Amino acid sequence: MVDVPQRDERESCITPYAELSTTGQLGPLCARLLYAVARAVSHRFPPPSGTAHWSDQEIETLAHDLMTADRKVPFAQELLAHAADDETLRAYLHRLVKRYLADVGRETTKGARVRRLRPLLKDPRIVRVGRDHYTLAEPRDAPAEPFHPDRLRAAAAAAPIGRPNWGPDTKRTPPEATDASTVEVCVAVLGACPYPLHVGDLADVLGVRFGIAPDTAEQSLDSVSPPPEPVAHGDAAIGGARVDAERVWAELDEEERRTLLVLGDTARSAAERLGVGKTKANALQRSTLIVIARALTVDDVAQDIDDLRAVLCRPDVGPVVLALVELAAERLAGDEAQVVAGIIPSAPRGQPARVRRGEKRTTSPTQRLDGGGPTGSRTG
Amino acid sequence: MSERWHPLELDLQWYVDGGDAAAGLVEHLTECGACRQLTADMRDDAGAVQPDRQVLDAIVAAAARQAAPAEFVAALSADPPEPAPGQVWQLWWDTTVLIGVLIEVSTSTVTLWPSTIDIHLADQTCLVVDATHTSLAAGLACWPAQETVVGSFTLHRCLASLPDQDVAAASHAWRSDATLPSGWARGPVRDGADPSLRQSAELMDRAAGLSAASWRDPAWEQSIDAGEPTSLADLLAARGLTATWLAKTLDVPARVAITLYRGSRAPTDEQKVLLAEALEVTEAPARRPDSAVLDALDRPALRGLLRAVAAAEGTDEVKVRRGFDGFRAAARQMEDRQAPDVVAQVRVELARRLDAAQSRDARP
Repeated sequence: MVDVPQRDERESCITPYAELSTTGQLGPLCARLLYAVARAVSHRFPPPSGTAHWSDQEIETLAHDLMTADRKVPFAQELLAHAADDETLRAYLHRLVKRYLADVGRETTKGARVRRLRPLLKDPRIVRVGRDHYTLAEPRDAPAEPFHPDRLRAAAAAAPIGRPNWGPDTKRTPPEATDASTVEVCVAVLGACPYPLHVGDLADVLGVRFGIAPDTAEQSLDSVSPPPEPVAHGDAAIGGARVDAERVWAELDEEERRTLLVLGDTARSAAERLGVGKTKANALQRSTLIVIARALTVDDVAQDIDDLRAVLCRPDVGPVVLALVELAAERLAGDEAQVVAGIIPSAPRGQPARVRRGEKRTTSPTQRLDGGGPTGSRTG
Repeated sequence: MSERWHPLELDLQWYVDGGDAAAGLVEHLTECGACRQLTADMRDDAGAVQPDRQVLDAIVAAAARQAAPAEFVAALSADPPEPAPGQVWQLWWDTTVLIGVLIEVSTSTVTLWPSTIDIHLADQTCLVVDATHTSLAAGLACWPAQETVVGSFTLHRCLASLPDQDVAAASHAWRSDATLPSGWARGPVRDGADPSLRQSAELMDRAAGLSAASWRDPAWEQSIDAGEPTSLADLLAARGLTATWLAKTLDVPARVAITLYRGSRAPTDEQKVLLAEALEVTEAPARRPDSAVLDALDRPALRGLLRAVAAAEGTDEVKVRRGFDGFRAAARQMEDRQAPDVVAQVRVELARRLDAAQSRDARP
């Protein structure tokens, strides 16, 4: 079994906190604890390289950068002020790493765009729904044809943008468009979207409109360099997944939408929850999986239900399926909303991956860089 | 551990790496989809479990430039003084740690301003003390508007002292827009979207958590024994239970249940056991210590000794405190006819227990 240091140290005489409080600085024990926390927390955030996983080197850099980041008091003093024993030291390090990664996220191009967008979204024509979703105060009539995410880009492209006239010596990075025209583009995009849009997704659409983010739909097939590995979690993945999920949602009928909530169940369990026979439940699960697979242009649409489930666990498809299940949980009646995440792989130690009836998800499966998210702290 | 309070990522990672699950973690995972997803991500990600020697050396070398000032480290190990207004304390209860400036001190509680040495969190509702005016070797941001009363048992370490008259003047200035004392300033105005506001809100949550801290034994409040402090009849009424429930639970005739319910008949010992089990309370109220003993246990000066006893006995602070539920301070009056020195008596009792635990450990 692997040897993670902090557990051993809890049982030894010298612990990271004892080391810190007696010497007034981080020694090897604290350094290892810092590394371990950075490694554990990093899973909640997209890696800086844009790949699917954090590399060892990126985690090492994170631990190092966290400590040497610009701060008002020395790092060791900050830790000593906020911790009184090993448990509180561990908890504070968790908060610190999360806060640091969230701050770094805000400094990205997209993070900066989100920060610029937030005050502009206070326009009276726009209303906030929940914490970070926006829609128009007076919704426009929905067009007859089914929704497709391209409509958002088309709406953005149709709205004129004004470039700010900043001098070449300006020290700040100039905004990509004037405030007034940015608001107009936002209104156009939100008007074309039949559901409240997350501010991160809105920033993505604006990025394409301003010509500073690649339009994935227009990527050249002749590109010499291989496309980057799909990001398993992160804003772009979540935003794209949500949009794709909307598209698939439009293709499902009522029964199939209800079946989304029991996709990972056994036929017996699905039958009980849907109130149909086992054969019917199995057929519904299968047909729903096939519709999803076809809509997501999965090349080899299998016929066996387990094969279908396996295909939908692929990294490029999994987030969309998860977003789809979440959509179903949001839109179907509350007492039906038993969100089934079981089709997403790797539930630990054979435990069924589901949220029970009546429970409220306190976090999304992935975290947004600009949104903070759960504390991850254990205080109760 | 519930779905609301998620385990630390480190505990999840340890579990994923093949270590033992922390208490309640497996149960939490069966209920919490988000944590299950996170563990799945951790499984997919096979990063190095331990950094190599060079990485550790690099971190430790960088840490040398981030050492805490010597006076700050010294304050951590100093014996805590009697609490007094103007002192800057580190407060600690369970997993909550907070810094506070004491404004008022009473026998068992203190009033404080939640504070932090992270002065970049200061906002317009803050007063900021310059680093040159504290012995913290750091500036201090405090929130007078969030004045909080906490039990003095949460006081952990005295980190520094600000001149009492300065704190009083700052408090007055805060309420009246008068001039602040030298070295004090108002915090900067922050935009509502500033992320630091979220951190300062978290600070206030911690202050609220500390003010709700209590180690008092619930058994002091509820028992099925008729009389002090809560009678069986009161307990049943509070829980909305009827004489019918009593008859079923105790398997007694209705008329007996009614007399028990009305309190005109005391339950037998056997019935007390059954009721205690059904109601999840103690059979008889634990003896509440004298309030003077409770106050003595709350003294920060005794907390170090109390924790040492807990460590030596292999238990926790709360259990040691509750172990005093039968303790009675000697009634002997001092020669000057003042009240007996209960603090000294509690100190002696703690020292006796520490000696006993240590000598037990020393036995072969």
